[in-house]
Amino acid sequence: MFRDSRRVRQLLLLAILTSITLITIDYRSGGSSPFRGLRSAAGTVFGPIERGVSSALRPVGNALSTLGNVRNLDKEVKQLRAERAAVEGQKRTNEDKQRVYDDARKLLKLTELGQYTVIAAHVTGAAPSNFSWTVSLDAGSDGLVGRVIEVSKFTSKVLLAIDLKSTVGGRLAYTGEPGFVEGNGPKELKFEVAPATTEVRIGQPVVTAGSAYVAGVPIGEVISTRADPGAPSRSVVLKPYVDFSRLDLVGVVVPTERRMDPDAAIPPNPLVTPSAIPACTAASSASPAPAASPAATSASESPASSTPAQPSPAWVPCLSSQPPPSPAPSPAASP
Amino acid sequence: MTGGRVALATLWIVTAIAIQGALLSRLSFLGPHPDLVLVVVLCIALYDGPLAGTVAGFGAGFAVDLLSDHVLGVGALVLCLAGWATGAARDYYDRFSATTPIVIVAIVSAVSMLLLGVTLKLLGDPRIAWSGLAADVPRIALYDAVLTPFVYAAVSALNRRADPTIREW
Repeated sequence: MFRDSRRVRQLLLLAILTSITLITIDYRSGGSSPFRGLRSAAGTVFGPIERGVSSALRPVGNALSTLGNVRNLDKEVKQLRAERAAVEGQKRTNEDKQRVYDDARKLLKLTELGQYTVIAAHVTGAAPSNFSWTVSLDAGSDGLVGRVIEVSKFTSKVLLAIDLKSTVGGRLAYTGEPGFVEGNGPKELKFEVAPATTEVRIGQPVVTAGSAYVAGVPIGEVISTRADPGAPSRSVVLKPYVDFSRLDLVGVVVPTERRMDPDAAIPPNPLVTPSAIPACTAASSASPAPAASPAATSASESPASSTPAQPSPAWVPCLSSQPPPSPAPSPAASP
Repeated sequence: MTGGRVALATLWIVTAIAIQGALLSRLSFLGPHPDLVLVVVLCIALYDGPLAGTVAGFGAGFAVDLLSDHVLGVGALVLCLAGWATGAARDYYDRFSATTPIVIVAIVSAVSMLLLGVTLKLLGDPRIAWSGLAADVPRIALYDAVLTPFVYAAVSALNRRADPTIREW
């Protein structure tokens, strides 16, 4: 036991001295250590062993790492899910925006063809109750949508052509026979054309005749026709070009004064004149036209004359005059 | 120490170094990683005594030094001291229970890691900070203590089989 213990102590002393020698030599020599060859030899020997063990234990290591990272993984999964949801939402938004963009382009083409000012507007709400078909626009379509019947500061209400109260002066395309297009529920329009002997072909388009509405806006095409014996007129059923159940972007045709305003000779009344709408357009495009746009000027340039109930210095919305008692003749066309 | 046991100890240490490098040192989520090489050396010392502990510690420490990039000899110094102390500690306790290796490994691990860290720091190793050392040492000791029962059981079982004449401690 004693000898064994002494041997151990001698050995320990030897080991310690060797270690300290190694430390001293390695520390002193720094980068040019004489043990560099030894180190690389050790790496050569242990490298393959470690590689073998590593590949053998990789599943274990992965499992352990996964276990250790469970909380992080959970967080990551949550984050990725949130990102995916955001991206999918963005995609849907983009698809919808693409549709709106396509509509707008079509609308723009339609606008370029005619000489009318067209305000693009979104349908913000619909009231297709069982008995009335109106939509709300956030400003004031391939075909006729309806007629603006109510204009408030930021929205306007459109009486759709399919409303039972709606009557539109129409004209058969190609032949030019005039008649009245009446609303007949959500899917179709009635077109009464006199006399009953008028020749009507299936598929023949009907356009607006241009009284209260802009002339030449396509309304729909003939899908059936019937002449009751003895009746003074022929009943035609039209399929509207516009799908009224999915209106979104529509164009509001704003009549310019010279051409459309039947009351152009009368001194403009800001409350009732239909010219209030084009006047607003002028104001919104920042061109002061005091004489021609009394509604705009009364509110934006001389606030004293405007009613206190309408404190609106920023006169941005175009169709922001008071609701005209007589419906402003501003038809809406949809792309 | 017979030749067979030297060979076995060498095998243990090489395996421990390989597992340490290939697996344990990569488990970053643990923070500091368990020091399997140290645990193996201490288990050899517990089983075979201070002489084996000293030799195994020096050899294992030197190998670790060669494979690491710190100053050569520090690991050898610390591990040979740790192996010797663990083997020598056998003279100071009377009963050997299942928890004895665990307690001894935990204590010796903490002291060795502290010694290793302080030595490297004094030699100017920039990677060692006092605060990090203080935080890591208890955790390494804990991890090592957790490994000990398995390592000790494996070492003693294999040594018994290889050399049945050895006096069971």
